Amino acid sequence: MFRFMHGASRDCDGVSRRGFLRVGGLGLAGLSLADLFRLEAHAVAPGADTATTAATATRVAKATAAGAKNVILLWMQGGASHIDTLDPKPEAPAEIRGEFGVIDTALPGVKVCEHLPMLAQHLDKLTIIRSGYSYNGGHGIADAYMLSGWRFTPATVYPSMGSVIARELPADPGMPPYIQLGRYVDQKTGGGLAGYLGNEHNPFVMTSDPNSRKFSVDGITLPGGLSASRFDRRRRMLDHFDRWQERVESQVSDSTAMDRFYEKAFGVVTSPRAKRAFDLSEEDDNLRNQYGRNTFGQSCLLARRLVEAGVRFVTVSSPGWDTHQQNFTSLKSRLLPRLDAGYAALLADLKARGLLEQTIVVWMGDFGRTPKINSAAGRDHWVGSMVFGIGGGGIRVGEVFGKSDRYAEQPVTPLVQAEDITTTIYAQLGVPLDRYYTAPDGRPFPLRPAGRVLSELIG
Amino acid sequence: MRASIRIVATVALIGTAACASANAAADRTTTAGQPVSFATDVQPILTKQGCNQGACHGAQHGKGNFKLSLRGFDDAADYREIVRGAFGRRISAVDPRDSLLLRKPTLHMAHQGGRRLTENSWAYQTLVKWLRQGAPGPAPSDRKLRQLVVEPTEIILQPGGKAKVTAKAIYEDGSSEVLTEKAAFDSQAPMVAKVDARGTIEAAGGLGESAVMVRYLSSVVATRVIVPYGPAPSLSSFRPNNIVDRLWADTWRKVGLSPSPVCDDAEFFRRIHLNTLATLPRPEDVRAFLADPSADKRDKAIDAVLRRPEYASFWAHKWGDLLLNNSQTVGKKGMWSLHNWLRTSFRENRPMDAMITELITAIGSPYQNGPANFYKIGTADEWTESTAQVFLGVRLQCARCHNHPYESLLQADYYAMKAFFGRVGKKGSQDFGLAGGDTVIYIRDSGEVTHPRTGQVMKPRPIGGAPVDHPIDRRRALASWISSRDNKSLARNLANRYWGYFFGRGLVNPIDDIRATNPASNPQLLDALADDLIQHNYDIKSLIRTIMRSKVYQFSAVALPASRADVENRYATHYSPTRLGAEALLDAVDFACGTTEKFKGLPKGYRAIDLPDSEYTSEFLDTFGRPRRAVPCECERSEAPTMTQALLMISGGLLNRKVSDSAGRVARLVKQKTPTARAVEELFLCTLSRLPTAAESREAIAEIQAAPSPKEGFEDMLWTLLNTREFQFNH
Repeated sequence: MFRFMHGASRDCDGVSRRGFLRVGGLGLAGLSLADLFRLEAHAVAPGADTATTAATATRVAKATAAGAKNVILLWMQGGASHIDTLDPKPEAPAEIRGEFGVIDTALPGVKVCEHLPMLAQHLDKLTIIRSGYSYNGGHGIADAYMLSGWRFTPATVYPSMGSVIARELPADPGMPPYIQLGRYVDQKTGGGLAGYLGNEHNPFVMTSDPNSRKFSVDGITLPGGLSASRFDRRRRMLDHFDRWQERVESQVSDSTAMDRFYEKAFGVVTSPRAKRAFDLSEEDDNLRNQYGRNTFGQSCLLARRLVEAGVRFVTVSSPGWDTHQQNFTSLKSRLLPRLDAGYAALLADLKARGLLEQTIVVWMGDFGRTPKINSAAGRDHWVGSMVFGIGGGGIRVGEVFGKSDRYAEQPVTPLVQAEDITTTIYAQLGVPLDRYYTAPDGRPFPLRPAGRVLSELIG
Repeated sequence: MRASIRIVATVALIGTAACASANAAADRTTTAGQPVSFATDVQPILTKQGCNQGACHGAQHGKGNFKLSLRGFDDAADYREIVRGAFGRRISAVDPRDSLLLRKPTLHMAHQGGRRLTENSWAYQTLVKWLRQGAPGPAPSDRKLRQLVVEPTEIILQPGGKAKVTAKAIYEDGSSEVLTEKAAFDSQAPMVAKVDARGTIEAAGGLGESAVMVRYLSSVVATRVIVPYGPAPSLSSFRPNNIVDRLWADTWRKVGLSPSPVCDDAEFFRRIHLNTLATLPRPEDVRAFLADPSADKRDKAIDAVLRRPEYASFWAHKWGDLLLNNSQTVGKKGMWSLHNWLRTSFRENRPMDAMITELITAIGSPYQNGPANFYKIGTADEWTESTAQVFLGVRLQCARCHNHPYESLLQADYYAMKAFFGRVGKKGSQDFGLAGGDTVIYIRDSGEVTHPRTGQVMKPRPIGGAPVDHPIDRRRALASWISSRDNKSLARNLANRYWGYFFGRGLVNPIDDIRATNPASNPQLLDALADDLIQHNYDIKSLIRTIMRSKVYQFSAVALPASRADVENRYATHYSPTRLGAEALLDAVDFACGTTEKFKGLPKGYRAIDLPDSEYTSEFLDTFGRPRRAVPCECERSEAPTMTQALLMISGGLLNRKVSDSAGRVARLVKQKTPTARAVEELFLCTLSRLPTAAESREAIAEIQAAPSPKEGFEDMLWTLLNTREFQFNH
């Protein structure tokens, strides 16, 4: 069992840390790491005018009032089966119900798939939305739509949530504000990207495996063979030889912008902070085991560390959910056990550190999967119904919201769609919903997708 | 009818006498007996007061339950809404002044939009009169606008100065009218020039240029207003090389700016390579060019560059971006077929009008016939929009759903253009007995495009032209219109695009947004380049040669202090440095490091500019903003610097592996025991395309000698040079 969650274990470092937490309200690791970062963070860049400063201050105040500061998105690329996860239909005929049974959960009367036993015990830390609906049944477009809340049009790439948040909310200057772990977001039609907001707000995509023994992050940790002293030397040489700027001065805005980003990048590479945030060896082995010794589990753990280090939006991307064939085998053998451990440990860990109050955790994928099992023992794409997990950061937890019909073919309560999820997250983070952007081609776009704030889930 | 509306613009100075008679003409419409027309009097008033703008009653659902069409494009609907809407409460026949239509904007009743009218204004009086006359509606006898004329079209104002623009409507029945009261005047840069409601322009303190837009009914024209940066320069020492220089000199005298001196030979040589080939010059070529004492060596170098094979690679790539060539949409075979056609065409320097004709009129198999892929991508809407934007430089997308909000582009223009493509059919090739999953593009003998609002069947008519047709294939009529020698649209678009590619900024900017209200920074030059291109039968290399041979192209990248006020370098007084594009940068890194990038599915040796589409995985190219080839807009290529780019360059594995590649340049320098001074020269030549200065050479040698080994020293030096802005910019 997942002892850590019940406060039952008293036999390891992790426990003493959590024991401290219960007394002091903030975990040691959380204190040392997160506070270091927070102390170092200066929310306003030098040179910003007073109006900007004031606006930033207001936004910070709003964000604080709203409670949410960060988002961790667990992205199931391909689209997880809703029936085989959080919206099971044990009463349905076998060709719909599938091979899996159901189990009881921490919420009386609520059942989930039997292969999510740990998560079942932590349903008090999320809300399941069972009236989800996705208008589109194709993968690339799903990534663009679900992550931005905007329906697809070939003429425009809308910014994804992480990009909007990176742009709108003050961020720690020593960390990229928007990080994607793993390459499992389909970017073909702009999924997960900044779209018309410009590359500057694209996620930093980390492609290395945090579960690997030789885990290092390209770009953030120095490449093999390059010592810190040699890197310092290079930086000194660059300062010396990069004189061209003096001649063209501020004439070229791209050049000054580049200067700023080089400054930031050097900050990230040379400061111990980013390196430390990515250094999973600082974590207790038991805790690492609880998250699961696999890419997904360790990415969930890394997401927590990154949020502590000041990253505003972390996407944990998980591949393989497009189970057209052998749905039950892949779910049972790989996908569900890993999801179960990682998601449960993340919620528990965040809760224990007092971070769940300021971190929204969202679990979703491309769309639902066909209630009816196909001839290859798989489930295909299903637009009619899907399920979301959401909670934290002021969004209520411990509830089941909405309901699908008896075969999970479509919702019987009002639909909840990506645009509602996105709008709710923006509202909770204090993103100004009335803002308009101008795309590079001059067209004005409202920041706010055409969704509603799910006020039933707030407060 | 719309087709015949031509916007005529002439430069003229209006004397006082002309103004007086103009006002008299305007006054005629207000004399008691003259009937007030809903279409040509009331609607312009609603537009000018802002009633029907997008933020007010012109919004999709109106405001306060009162909805007008956006800037009054729909007379019938607006008339109904005003006269019959809200149960007729908006107007009062008994006492016109008691009409809601008048009480609200005069703030006799609460009006969220504030005060829009005063009782003693011409507009108010005219509305009262219209109501007194029984509020007549739009009628077939309404005068139709043929031309909206603004005079003068260019005004030079000294600081503190004032001027007046006059707008005149010429109607199809031959009558005309001066529009002092009825036209709406707006300044695009009010800090440079302000304009009042009657067209009086005043310098506002800022220096530079502002377009003053004049709107009447569905037409818009603009006047350029220039407030010079300083006194006219003498330019006595400026020796023009060609027409480009002469026409810029005229402009600098007008705007009071002086040009920078010409750049040095090494800068020039690097610049022509990067602009024309997206490829760095070879060190041995740089040395030879620097050593060449001949007076015409720059012209010779331009000719040599234009003969290089990379020319076809780079421009095929560029046009592949614009034509959205992408294996995702046209399949691998289609993509290669279009790519190969582009490469061949650019290698042979085929006339651009012929290439575009071939694209527009393409039929048959996209696998066999490259241009036919143009029709494999999207449907008639996309073909219409791509044709407008890529070939004519006009962004037509807005008009798919509504009249352009501040441009003379109507929804009808869109669908008249689309009518050219209404008969293009696509079928699977098996229907024609061809296996292999190909498609066949063919022409049906019927098929019409209708206006979505009116349902009217549209006659094919190009933007800005008269209706044309062809009995077999309507597209042939479009192609001959586009390539006709007396039509400058294509030539102007190409001249402007290529100017933008070589200067980082179009004469009309953005380079694919040509419209009346976005005037060129040098209209005479745009016309001259277009004429020259037509005279040279659309020979693009000749256009490039004209551009690169000019002094203006060869200016230093450093602005004179007095010219920096022109922040955007609108007047080309110096060269504007631009960042290398994603592909050029990756190729330049490989060239400098002596390495090659291997793209999956392509043989070794394919460089980034050789790539036929953007589907070849490369984190580097994605991070540096290569376009996805989904929309035909130049803006799809993202040139903004980002932190991730900086991380890839300073600490990314890819770059660092290339720097220290065991078969790379540094490895060779070490293996050949190259003397340090010579190695430093080579490293500078292969990155910055110039020799180091004496000081740089001394310092670089010292750094390298201080390093633990020559290998580490050279690597660090190469890394340093790759990370300088001098390397990452074309300047």
